[in-house]
Amino acid sequence: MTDDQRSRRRFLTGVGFATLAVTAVTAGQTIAPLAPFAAFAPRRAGAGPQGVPINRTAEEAGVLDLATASTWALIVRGGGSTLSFTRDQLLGRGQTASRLPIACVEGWSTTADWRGVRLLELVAATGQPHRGVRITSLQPDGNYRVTEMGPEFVDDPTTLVALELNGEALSLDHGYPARIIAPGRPGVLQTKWLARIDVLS
Amino acid sequence: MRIARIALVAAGVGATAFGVVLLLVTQRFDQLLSLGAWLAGAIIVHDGVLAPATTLTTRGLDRVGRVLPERSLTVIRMAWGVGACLTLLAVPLVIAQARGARNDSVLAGDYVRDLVLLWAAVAAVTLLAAAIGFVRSRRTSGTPPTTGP
Repeated sequence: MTDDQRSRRRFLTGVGFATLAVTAVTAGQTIAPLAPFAAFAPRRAGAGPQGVPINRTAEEAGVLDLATASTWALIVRGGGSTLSFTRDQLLGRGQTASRLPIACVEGWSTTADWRGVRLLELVAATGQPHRGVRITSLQPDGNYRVTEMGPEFVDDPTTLVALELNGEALSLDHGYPARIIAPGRPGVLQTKWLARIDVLS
Repeated sequence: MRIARIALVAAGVGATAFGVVLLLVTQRFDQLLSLGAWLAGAIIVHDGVLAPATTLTTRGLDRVGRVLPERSLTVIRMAWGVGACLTLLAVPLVIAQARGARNDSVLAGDYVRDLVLLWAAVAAVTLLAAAIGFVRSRRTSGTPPTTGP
């Protein structure tokens, strides 16, 4: 082996060690078993209310008053009818549990236990066949105030209008009174502080 | 060996080409632009900060470490590179924390303490490995390795 080869091998070995070290101290923000070693992750597993991190607080989103108002009700519109559900009415319907992650495009993800009403049941209550839904949040502005969800997500039995997170009522920062949780969507589309759901046809 | 290399290169080129096609098909033009900016940022940080910093400091290390055998010096150079990468990761977090986190669930760590601890761990492992290298090279050469120019 020549000196050049030896030096190249040593350099590559060094790069290998550096890669291992960097991976070890960051991967834990999305791979749960590595969480204790995630020294240089912006997010800590379990940090945040109800064990799940927050990106936008209720205060930042400007929804404190609307989300805590006693007059709040979720509006579901479709097929010419407008349905309205208070939080108690939603809690009174059949509840479904889903274990789903919040997966943020910033690079962290946390899996949590959610409970609420299947979105599909609320959509079906309008009697209109759907081609997806349009979801509107209470927040007065923001890029994701209004989003659309394709029929494949609406039909998924784990997609919920969630009312509980990890065994407790949703906290304000997690989207109280009700939020969307669906599998396989980026975190920004898991709309918090629901105001209205329009059934698309 | 040759066949293995050709297979590896072919697999790498194939996977890269697949990724590029996927990018072009699934992403909008403005998204591709911001991806380009992000990748350029990584190159600037590597070529503009990490590489010069480690090269310069490693030169200094080499000068100080002349008394050491090549094996020990190699271990120290590697450790220095690992430490530099860890520091590079910690710096943006420390700066962001100093500017104030968005809410309590963001930037929840004690990054300075962790960086110090990690440097200490790297130093401990390095010391051990360098010592082993030192002992081994004494054994194999039979003479003290302190024959610097």
